[in-house]
Amino acid sequence: MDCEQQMNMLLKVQEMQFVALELNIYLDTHPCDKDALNDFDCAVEMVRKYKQAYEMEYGPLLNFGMDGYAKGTWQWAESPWPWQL
Amino acid sequence: MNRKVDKSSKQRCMPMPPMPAMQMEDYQPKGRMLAHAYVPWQQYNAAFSPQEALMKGTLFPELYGPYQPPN
Repeated sequence: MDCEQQMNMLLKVQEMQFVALELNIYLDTHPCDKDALNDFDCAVEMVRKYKQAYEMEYGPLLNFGMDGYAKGTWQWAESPWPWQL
Repeated sequence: MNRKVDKSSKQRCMPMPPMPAMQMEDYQPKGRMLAHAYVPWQQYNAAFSPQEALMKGTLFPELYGPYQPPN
C-alpha cells in the first residue's frame, strides 16, 4: 500500500485549497484586484485537477456534494481517513 | 435546601442598585481628540508557495508574524 503517495496527493489538494481560500478572503476586500482574480481562478482549477487525480487513484474525497457518482460501487467508506494515512 | 436558605440566596441574587450617572467629564481632559484606529491597505504583490503557505498559515508574506517562542 503506497500510503506516502496517497498522502502526497492529498497534501497537494489541501495546499491548493488553502491558496484558493486565502485569495478568496483577500478578494472579499479587494474584489477588483486583477492579479488576485487571476490567481484565484488558477488555484480553483488546480484544486479541481488535484482532486480529480486523487479520486481517480484512491476513490472519492467526499461522500457527496462536489464529487462524482458512486458508479456501481460504494468506495466512499473503503478508503482510509486522512488521519490514517 | 430549606426555606431560609432559599430566601437568603434570593436576596443575594438581587440586581445591583442602579449606579448614579458617572461624572465622566471629571475624567475627560477637555479639548482632546478621541483615538483614531487605522489598518493599512493590503496589496497583493507576493505570495508564498502553496507548501509554504499551508505550513505558515497564510499565503501573504506581509501577514506572516509568528509569536516568538518564550525562552
